[in-house]
Amino acid sequence: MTVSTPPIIRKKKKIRFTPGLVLVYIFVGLFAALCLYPFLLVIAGSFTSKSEATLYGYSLIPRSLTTAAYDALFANSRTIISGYRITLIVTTAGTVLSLLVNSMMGFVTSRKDLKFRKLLNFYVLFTMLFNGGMVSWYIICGIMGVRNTIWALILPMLAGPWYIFLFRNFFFSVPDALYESAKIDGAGDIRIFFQIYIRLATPVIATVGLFTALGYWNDWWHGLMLIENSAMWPLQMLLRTVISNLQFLQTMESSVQVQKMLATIPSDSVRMAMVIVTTGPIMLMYPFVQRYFVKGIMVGAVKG
Amino acid sequence: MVEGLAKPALPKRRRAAHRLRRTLRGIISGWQLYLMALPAVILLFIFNYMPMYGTVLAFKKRFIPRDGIWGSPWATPLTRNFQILFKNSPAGINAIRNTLYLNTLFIVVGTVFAIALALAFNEIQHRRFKKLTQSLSFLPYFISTVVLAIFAAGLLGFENGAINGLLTGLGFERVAFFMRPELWPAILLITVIWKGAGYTSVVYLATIAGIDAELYEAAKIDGASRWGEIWYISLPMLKTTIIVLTLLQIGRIMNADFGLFYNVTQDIPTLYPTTDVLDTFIYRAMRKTGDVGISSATALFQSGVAFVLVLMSNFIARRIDENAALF
Amino acid sequence: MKKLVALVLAALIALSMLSIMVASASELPHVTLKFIFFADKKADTDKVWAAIAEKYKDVLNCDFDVQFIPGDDYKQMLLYKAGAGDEWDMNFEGEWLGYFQMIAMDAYADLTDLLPVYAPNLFEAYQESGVLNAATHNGKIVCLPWTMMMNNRQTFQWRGDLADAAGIVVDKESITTFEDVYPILEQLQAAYPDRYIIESSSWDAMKNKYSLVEIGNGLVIDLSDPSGTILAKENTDAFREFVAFGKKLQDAGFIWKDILNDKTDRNAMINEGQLITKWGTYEFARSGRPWVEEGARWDYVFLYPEGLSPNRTPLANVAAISATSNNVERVLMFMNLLQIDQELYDMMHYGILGETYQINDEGAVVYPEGMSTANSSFMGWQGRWAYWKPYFMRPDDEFPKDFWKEEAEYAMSSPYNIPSPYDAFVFNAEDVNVEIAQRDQVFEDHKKLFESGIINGEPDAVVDAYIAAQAINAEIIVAEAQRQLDAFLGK
Repeated sequence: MTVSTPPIIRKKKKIRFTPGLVLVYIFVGLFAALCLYPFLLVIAGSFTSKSEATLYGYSLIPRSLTTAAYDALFANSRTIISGYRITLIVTTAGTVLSLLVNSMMGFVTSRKDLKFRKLLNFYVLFTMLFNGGMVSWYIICGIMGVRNTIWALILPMLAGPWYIFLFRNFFFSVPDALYESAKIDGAGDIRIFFQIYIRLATPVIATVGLFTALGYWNDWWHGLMLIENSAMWPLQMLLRTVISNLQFLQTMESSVQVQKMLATIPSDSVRMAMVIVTTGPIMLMYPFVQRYFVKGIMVGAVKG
Repeated sequence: MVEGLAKPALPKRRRAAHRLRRTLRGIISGWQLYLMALPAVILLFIFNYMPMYGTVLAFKKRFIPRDGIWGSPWATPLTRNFQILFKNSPAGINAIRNTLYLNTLFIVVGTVFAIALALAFNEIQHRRFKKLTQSLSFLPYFISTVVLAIFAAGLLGFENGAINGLLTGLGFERVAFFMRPELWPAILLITVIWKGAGYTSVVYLATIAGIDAELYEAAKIDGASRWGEIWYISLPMLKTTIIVLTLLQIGRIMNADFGLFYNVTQDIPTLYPTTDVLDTFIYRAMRKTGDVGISSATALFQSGVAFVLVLMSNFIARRIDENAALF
Repeated sequence: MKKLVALVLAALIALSMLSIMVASASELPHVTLKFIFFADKKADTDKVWAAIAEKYKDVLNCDFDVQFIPGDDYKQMLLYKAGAGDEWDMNFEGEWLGYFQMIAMDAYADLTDLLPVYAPNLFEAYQESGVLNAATHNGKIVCLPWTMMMNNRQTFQWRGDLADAAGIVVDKESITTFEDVYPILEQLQAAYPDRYIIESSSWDAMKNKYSLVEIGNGLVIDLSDPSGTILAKENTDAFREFVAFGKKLQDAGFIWKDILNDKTDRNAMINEGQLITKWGTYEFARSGRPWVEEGARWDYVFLYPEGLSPNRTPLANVAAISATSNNVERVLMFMNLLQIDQELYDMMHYGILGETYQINDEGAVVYPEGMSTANSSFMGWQGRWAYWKPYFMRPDDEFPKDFWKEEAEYAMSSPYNIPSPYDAFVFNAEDVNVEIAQRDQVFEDHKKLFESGIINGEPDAVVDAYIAAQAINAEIIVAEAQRQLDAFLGK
């Protein structure tokens, strides 16, 4: 059984601009502009000097540009490179493994004739509602030997109940006829899953994959809690340390030495620089993932 | 399977044995499925179920590491830690009320907006415009609440705020935004929608992308307008997704986005009547003492209420759409 | 035969001598000491500590595993680590961090018996300066306090050069009260309407006026009262005056309207000249600022100089040894060495001469070429305050020569600067934890409003309402605290 996308015929279609459609375009355009403008402010802010921010606040076009915020973030260039490396490894491995684990679980919970299906559903749901608190979680992570290894950054986030439900929801919409005919052909559940369901699930995989990758990419919390050796910290944790320390310095009275340093490092601009640094790679990746949200593989083409 | 025939009346023990054999058969025939479920089950067990014993801290007076979580002394009476919310605590009750009210508002309006946005994106014919606007709609998600707070201050300030500058320019009176708690549910709602709509609409977009094109073809042949297509095809097909996402959000209804509430309101006391939520309330109470028993008790309370609400909503959801129910 | 016996004897003696030598060298088993410090780990940290380990191999025979936890997360992470029973040896701590909470969890080791044995010099120094009292809890010594002396009496600080330029005459001797400060603010505002005048009212100054010391949880004691009666702070006249003055400043327009949502860094505002007065302590009044405007000068006066002001508690910055440590003796030996060895002090604070620091012609410590505070490879402000020894400290960019000597001198100069007898008192809050949490929450709700004077109505009425809001809790807490304090004082 093969699945194929229908050929894209680029017809020059005349678009009928009904008043409704015009409104839609305006609505979307306005919303997108409202999303863009603050982001431009953030970019501008990240290049704004401390004294300008103090005297004049943040504006779209700063009076003078400075890279002080970025210098502060990347001051420790040796460790930044290792941080990037760790983050890339964790994000890639984590996303792939997570997609596998969550999609399989989503498939299992969507099979209505499975014994104990309700129990499994409840098992997954319950974890979203109840939480034992930080102390016991920290103790368990220690007992499980996860601390101070790279698995500390990957495993705790691997199983995501929210994503499991998204997958389950999608698999409901796949017609049972496909499953039945494959079963008659003698295929086992595992084969059916990988050969049929996964192929159909491209939009959901793209969505969940994107969200998961974002989750791993942005994560600094697991690094803080579970890893003592700063050489194993992901990028976000390293950047956050800079901000955390700047924050601390700002709240206390400090010596002239520190003030001199703070005078050149605008801590708010550093935060904005961090937003840019975080977003950059994701926004570069996004267009590639986007095409899966447009028409996906048609189910009809599979029936053949 | 021979259906339609009445089952013969067997003695109880035989029926039980039958059921057991059926169950075993079901388990054995589904062994591949159970295998596929294993990784998730194990991971959730380790990182979610095992730490759950920490909830018992909600009933402890003090946590002494040497005695461990179980050995630490019990609170007298057991529910003492919960009193922070209920005994002599108008602020606590206010926080609970705000949490429920604001989160419900966010869920309802947020869902409607995200769906509208997804449908709107779907209507765009120009491929480049569609890709561009959709990418842009994602940007607010990345702006941290602290950075947002900086801009909020710049926008809403009394002396130097941009909005007040505009108002005075047009001849109106200045508005002291940070002194007017009644304005803030709306302000926070706008912020939440702006920040999350792009992100959430992706889920709906993915679902729409999975709808069989033949359905739309058939409707067009029948003479349906574009609006009719949306109303009679897109929305019903989205129904399950909408219900699932809403149920999941109800599961978090007692938890507020701390960053949003603490930073964007600048933690200004005059706004507490309408913006103080459980998470910020507890934060202020815990700033000095950090009592782990009280914070556990609050977390348990939040989870408990959400659990009951999810159970109730799930029951209702099952009536509407069998598939949408979470369990 | 005789020769043989002699030979065997000699061999035996040589062998035993050899074994003694071998024994004494390996007397100390090799261990790794785990230290936890505050803030971020600089690039050459491991290198420096490896050098320390190498240098003191014979005396300490240990390696160092040094971990840093970021500033904002430090307190919470230590609580988790202690809660989980993690093993480590020594960490930086302070009463403004999680010291009291860690004590409540019994997280720190009992040093009472070991301190005099393994750190005799340190012990002696402690006894001389009398700080052991503060470090004792339930009769056990639980931390190694710092020995710096300072007093945080409040000063009023202002831009002297701007005052001069506007022709404002300030007679420093005569300014001792809030009422004296008011006219200065008035004149400054008239002369400089575009600048921000002041940020808030000052609770610390009021404490000085009424000789109060704060013991935590919003409780205060009058230092001049020998009976040690605890009061809830909102019930004092000091509090009322503090709130009333705040309202006065706000009404007069000295505190600006957007104060609550203005998150601009105040230090930056002062350095830029946007904000021109401040309340503060002696330490920062005279430690200089990176001024932007030419000729800027910061003047200061002490307010209420005859009110009693407590010296900074020895628990301000301490070195603590974890209860889970297996190497308490070794850590004490290390701390003892730090007390007496200038070289160890230099290495721990400045690093490796020539690589992480230089010494210039005036004998001050400076960064090597191309390094500054932001990108230094080892030196910096990162929390080693607990390990300061005033007699070892070299002058550097942060603090000029004799800075701390002058600080200590000031602390001892006035008969009204006294050590607080309540430094060591730890309030066990477990029976009143809910009341305290509720009271803290109510206080946090109002704190900013009181400081900035943005209150609705007359100050007295507002304070009365505030008192009423948590009078029940205050009563319970004060009663419990008084009971414990009386026991502590041995009544």
